[in-house]
Amino acid sequence: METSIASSILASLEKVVLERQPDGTFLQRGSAPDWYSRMLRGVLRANTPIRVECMFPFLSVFLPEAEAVWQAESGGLTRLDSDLWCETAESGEELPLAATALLVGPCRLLVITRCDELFHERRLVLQRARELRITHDALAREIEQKDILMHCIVHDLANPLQTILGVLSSLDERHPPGEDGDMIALALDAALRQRRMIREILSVFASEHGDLDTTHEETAISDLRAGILRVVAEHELTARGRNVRIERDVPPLPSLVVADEPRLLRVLANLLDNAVRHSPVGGHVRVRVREEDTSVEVSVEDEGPGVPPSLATRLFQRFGRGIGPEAGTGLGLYFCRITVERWGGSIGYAAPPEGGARFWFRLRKPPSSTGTLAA
Amino acid sequence: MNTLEKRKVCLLGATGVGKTSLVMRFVRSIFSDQYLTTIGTKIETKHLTYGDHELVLVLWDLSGEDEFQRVRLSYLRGAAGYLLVADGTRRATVETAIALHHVAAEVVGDVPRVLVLNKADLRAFWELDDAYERELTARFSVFEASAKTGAGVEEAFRALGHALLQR
Ligand SMILES: Nc1nc2c(ncn2[C@@H]2O[C@H](COP(=O)(O)OP(=O)(O)OP(=O)(O)O)[C@@H](O)[C@H]2O)c(=O)[nH]1
Ligand SMILES: [Mg+2]
Repeated sequence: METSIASSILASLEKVVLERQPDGTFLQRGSAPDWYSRMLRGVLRANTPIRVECMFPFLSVFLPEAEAVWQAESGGLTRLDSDLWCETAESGEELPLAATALLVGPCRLLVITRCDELFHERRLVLQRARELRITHDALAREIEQKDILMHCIVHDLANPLQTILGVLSSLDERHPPGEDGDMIALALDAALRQRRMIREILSVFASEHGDLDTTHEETAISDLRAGILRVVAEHELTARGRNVRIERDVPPLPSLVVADEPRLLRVLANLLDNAVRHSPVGGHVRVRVREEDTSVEVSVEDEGPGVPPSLATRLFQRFGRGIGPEAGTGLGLYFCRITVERWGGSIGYAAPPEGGARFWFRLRKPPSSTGTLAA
Repeated sequence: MNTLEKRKVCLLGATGVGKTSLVMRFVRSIFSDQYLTTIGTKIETKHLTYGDHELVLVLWDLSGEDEFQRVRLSYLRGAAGYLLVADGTRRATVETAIALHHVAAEVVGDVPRVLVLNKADLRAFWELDDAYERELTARFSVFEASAKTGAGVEEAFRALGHALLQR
């Protein structure tokens, strides 16, 4: 009597209890919940031995693990739960199930539970989390591309302005008489105002996006060595996934250069990213630092196919690799060039005779070697 | 000579790359734009014929890999091959697929596998450049597919099935 109540309780909790036979088949014990009876309907009678792994292929990975419970000597595991899996019921609805292996006295039991609630709860959380993650990533990518584009455009606007200002101020210094002088003063004024506006945009931009900071550009000093170590470490995982080795040859002591750190990291990351991406499997990427009298040169070499000569001259121009989905943003190397040049440095590409690609850039050392690190 | 063989195949990849969509397109010829993340494991079967040979693919559609959940590698037990799936519009998912390939190979050894670059209908927004794709092609049997339009889907599964029969 008591066993029959217990078995009805289990059935109403959506659980079916199966007992493992010595030959590896299973026999149903007690009454079965509706979902299970419906699955069996027309296929088997309730007391026929069944191969559960045929009925539920998912169990083919769980049963071997469950043996640890069923074969347990004293002190071993006495219970093991499977993860969720889904069957499609005859009606077409999803049937989320989970299994538990138990050792009760001499009985080796497999309890299969229909767990809609757990399933829906988990879906609610994971679904939301994953949707947010995907949206977040897409937005972050879009923002980054727009940031770079805008930075480049505004920066470009400032270049011809320098010439205009230069010409206007030298005209102004000649103190032309009368109306000419007034007009030149007016134009100079407007050009200066325009430069202020551009600087303002760049600095607003800088405060919004710390990594494109332009406020203390000419005075900032960074440790190149620390930057390289950090960026190489960040790229190690991607490189390893592709079996590419990154070798670095950096000085033992900090190497100070005129550059601001966030953008220096970005330049390094850009070059390293390209090198790893274009490396053949099992290839090497070499990052080298060479100290010169008044500057420091960094080179990043890979063993990839190199840049076709037809493209090499346009590499550092905006969209230098062509426009289109294959070309990435087309702004990476352009960004590197304008950034490095702003610090008074230079950047270039060389095709090593032995093949592969070699990108380099050179940065000035700070005027006195006692320069302080930019915050 | 007629033969009938059954092979287990796992779908591995980051979340949201279209593993479930590829299976649904292949097995039931349906597609939905709505994202419904897979909880746990869902198994589907599909019969394929190659001349006189009949192959039953038992497709294990696993929950994807991301920061919220790892792929359970023990589920690879007994797999005769696997399908790596990545989303062409998200380059990082290719790296995830390659990383999963490395760990999968440790569990099941050097078994047949294909790499599916899904969402080919969004080719214009792909984050993969030519050089990268060439390199992938050198390392994997790569199929560009779209679960949405169906392009390339059958080819990818059939190629894997074919490789399984060769063993
Ligand atoms: N445009 C387009 N969208 C697709 C394609 N394949 C899948 N999707 C969409 O991508 C989203 C994710 O697809 P799923 O098949 O659920 O991805 P999954 O890899 O099974 O994801 P998890 O189960 O979370 O690991 C859904 O919104 C699909 O509609 C495709 O070929 N083209
Ligand atoms: Mg899925």
